[in-house]
Amino acid sequence: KDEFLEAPRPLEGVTVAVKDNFCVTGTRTSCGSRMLDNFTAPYTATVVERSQKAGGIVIGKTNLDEFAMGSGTVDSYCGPTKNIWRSGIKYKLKTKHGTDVNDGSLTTEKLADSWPVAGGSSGGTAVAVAAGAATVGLGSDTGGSVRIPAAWCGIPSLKPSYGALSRHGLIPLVNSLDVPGLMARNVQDLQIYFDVLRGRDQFDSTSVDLKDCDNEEVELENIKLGVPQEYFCEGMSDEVIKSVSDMCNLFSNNGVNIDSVSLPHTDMAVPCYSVLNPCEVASNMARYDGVEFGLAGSDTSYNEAMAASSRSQGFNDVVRGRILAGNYFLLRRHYDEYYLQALKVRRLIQNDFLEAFKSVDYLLTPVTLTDAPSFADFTAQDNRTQTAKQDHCTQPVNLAGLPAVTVPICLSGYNRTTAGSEEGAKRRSLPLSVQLIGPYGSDKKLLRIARWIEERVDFPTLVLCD
Amino acid sequence: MVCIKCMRLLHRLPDSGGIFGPALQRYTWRQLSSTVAVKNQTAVADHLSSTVAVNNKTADEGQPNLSKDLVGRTIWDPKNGIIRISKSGQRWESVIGVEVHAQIKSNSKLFSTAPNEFNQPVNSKVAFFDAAIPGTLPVLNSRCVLAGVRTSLALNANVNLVSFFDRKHYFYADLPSGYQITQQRKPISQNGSFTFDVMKSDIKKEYVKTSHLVQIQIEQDSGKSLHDDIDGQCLVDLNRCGIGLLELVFAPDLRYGPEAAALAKELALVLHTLQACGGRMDRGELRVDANISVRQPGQEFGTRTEVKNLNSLRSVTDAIEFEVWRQIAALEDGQIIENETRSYNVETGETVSMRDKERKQDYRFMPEPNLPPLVLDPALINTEKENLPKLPAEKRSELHQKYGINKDICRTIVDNPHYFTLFMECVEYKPLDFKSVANIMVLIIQEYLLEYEKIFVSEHDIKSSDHSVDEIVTISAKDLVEASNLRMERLINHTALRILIRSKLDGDTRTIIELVDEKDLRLIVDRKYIQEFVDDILKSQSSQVDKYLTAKPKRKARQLVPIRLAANEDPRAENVDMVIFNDILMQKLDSISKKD
Repeated sequence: KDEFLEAPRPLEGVTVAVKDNFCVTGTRTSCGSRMLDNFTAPYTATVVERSQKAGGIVIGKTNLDEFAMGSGTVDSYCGPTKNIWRSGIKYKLKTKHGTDVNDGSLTTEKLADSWPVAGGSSGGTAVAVAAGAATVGLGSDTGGSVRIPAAWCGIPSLKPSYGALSRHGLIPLVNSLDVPGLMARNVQDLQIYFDVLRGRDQFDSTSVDLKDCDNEEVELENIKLGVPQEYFCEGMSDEVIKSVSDMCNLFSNNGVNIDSVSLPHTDMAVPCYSVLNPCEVASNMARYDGVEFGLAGSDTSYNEAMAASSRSQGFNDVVRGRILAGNYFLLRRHYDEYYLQALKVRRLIQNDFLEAFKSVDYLLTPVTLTDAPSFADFTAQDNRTQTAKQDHCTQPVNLAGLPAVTVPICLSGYNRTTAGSEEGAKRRSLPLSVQLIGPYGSDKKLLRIARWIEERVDFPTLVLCD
Repeated sequence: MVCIKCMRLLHRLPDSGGIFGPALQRYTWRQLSSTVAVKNQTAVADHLSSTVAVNNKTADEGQPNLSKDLVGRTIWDPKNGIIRISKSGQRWESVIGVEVHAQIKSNSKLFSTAPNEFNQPVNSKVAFFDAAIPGTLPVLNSRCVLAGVRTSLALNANVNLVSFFDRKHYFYADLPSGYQITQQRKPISQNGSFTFDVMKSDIKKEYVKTSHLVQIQIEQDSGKSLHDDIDGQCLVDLNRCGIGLLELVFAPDLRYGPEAAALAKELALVLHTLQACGGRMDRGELRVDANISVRQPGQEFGTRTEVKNLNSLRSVTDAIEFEVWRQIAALEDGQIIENETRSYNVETGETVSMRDKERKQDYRFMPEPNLPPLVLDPALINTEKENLPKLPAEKRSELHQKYGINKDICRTIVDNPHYFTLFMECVEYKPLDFKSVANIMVLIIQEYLLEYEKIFVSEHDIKSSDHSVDEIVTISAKDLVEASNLRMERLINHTALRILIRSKLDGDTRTIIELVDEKDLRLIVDRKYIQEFVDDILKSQSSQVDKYLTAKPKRKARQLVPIRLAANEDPRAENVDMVIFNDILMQKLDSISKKD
């Protein structure tokens, strides 16, 4: 429309990829599950609506682990999502200045016998944005579901403070941890997109207007960064550790104070999550009984039979397993021992952060333990094991409701296990990112710092070949 | 005469119509026509209470020696209160605690914007949230919270400044989300009390009862399932799903079915007064669950059963009484009472066990993560406290003390908010006699309503009434007072008064004075005319006059009755001031007797 040409809105003509657990009127919203394969959303999620009102164009719904339960986007009814990096698709690497990256140690070839997973559960959105199919993307982050795929696909991402973005229209995984998360090709786009979406929504009673959010100025010389020692866990690759220490050097060379801090209950985050998640899942999934919407099971002999057959036919093993566990934890005789205990642990984890933010302003941590694993390696372990492993650095942030930003900083190096082989002749060349965590409501300050990092690292841009 | 008879019956009725709608009005009409049955019951009760007194003495001596009449009866024992006497002569006490579900009167549902309207096309008032469409979230309706606060204050409960919502899980087709949002951990209020009058019943005693209110919680109503036995289909209507409910949980301190019905009736009236709930049981706006157990006096509580979804006062009484006697019979037969949920079949008058799934259900309660804690501002609670409307008990005592109205009539007037409004409007017009105004309402208007099955609505509430125009009648306070005053000034008689009121109820637009003139209702006070009337009567009743004259002084009044009846049958009696008639009659008789 002409009026928009003269006074373009913030996202005028910008393409948006939407994870398929956000409702968009008239489109199928499957959550990657057979259960909702036939579900056409009758309304639009607030964050999608705000994108559209700002001029954004939803170009498609993207793949995810069934009901966002996973960290690889390998457990979807629609099949797994391949990473754009080294999965056989032809692309070039360009520098920030648009010239070809000239580094003989890097490769863009397909991994031998496999391909790297996209990460999950918002893997579809991450790939769409990384490939340039969409300028910005919407995901949902419950334990790292935006940050992990963004890190593995080499794009920046924002997991906002809990309540900063409306959850209305986001099909829930764990209501008390879920936040819509954002991905873009660069941090500036994240900043713009976040401003378009944020703010109280009358349809979500847990949404808020962040008071401090309008002040995004950060004086780098005066901030203090903390590096939590517990985040460097067993199984973390050396180069991930090195990438964080490189960042530390970058910061301290620019006059930023860096200190080691302790978040003593970090190891309890995943066990705590393994109780809270199934409980809310069991509750949230109770609505899928085949009556009002979704898959109606073949056994319609009586109410309970219909619910049972709908659910056993509609959900995958991961979902069914969590429902079973959740209902077990919520039984009256188990409630105190599991659910209540998990809530207490959650409070301890939150207190860890509050304590740490007394001595430092922001935290700098890894995002993932390694670069993107190959599909073969990833699926060698089951969903539960992988989630427990991959969410180590991301999970505590959700439990504390804090904001976090990830920024890609470099490509991974030589793989020791494949050294000497043809595969080992080149670097793995897969993206590695760092994570910044801030106090509640510091979302925009984190984006500011992320932009500062982005300007100073030589992370290449991926450009698809025709 | 007829009127006084009616009055006695009217206050005895369990439902005197009004806000409870046409269905229950018909029910009261049936009661009215069975005058004889009511009388007999009273006689039985009289007999019982006299035998009880005797039996108590023997019981105290440890020698229960019960009259056969008492077997299977409920009696009032001065020592133990209400006691049941089983067929085998054993004494039992029943313990009853009620939970009342009251639909909150609000424009929209508790957590969604769908309208809260009764009797709408199936599934036409359903928001996405009500159908549990994925991704929708609850948004609390403040109107429902205020209703909860007001009700809590009216029932003297402590309002919790912070309360929480929880999910209660169970699978049912009419519960789309698979859980009900309720307040399990901390409800909106706790520890209140509710006082109500229990009318005379089998135990022939009218008394005041107070039940302890354990808590009030705000929760969602479910949808409705219709089971089609022929096709084996189950049809679901979600119009009701998500409407706000106040669940009022009372302590097990009732002992008798009619007590529970009296509680429900008074509660409906209080909630209606508070604008918290429509209070109509026939629409399911108020539903009662009763927890029932029996024990021998002085023993621990027995195992209880829960009878769910009682939706009329009649059902409340009958279901509880059936269940009490069933339990007594079962226990005496050596059976064990199981902790189970039962439903009441109105057709058979029996309670039946519901499917066992309800028995040991674990609802897997969990905090509702999508709703922050409900935090109430103490200032808001104070404002609500100050603005609480007058409650029925207060209204009754005002009518009784300020206007000298008989207690039973006060009850009838207050039970129907429209009567009360009308009465208070009448007060503005300064009637000569308040009792006359009250009597017109409970006798003439009430009789008219029962006869034509209409509902009375006060003049100013006609527009806001949810009844159809054909169903309702009204009369202005001005007309009513005018007619009442004419009667008090003895310008018209009772018959004329009745005609006037009925004409206005019929919708006659003429003024009261016009009606009096045009219908020629003015009383004849011309002494000459009346004298002739008296003479005619005396002439036609000459033999009876002789009997009167010769009767002993004590018997004279009795001999006068046939003479008066004859006068009443004369068409002239319609228009003549019978006070003057009596006056002249007595003078004449006096003078005749002196002559003799």
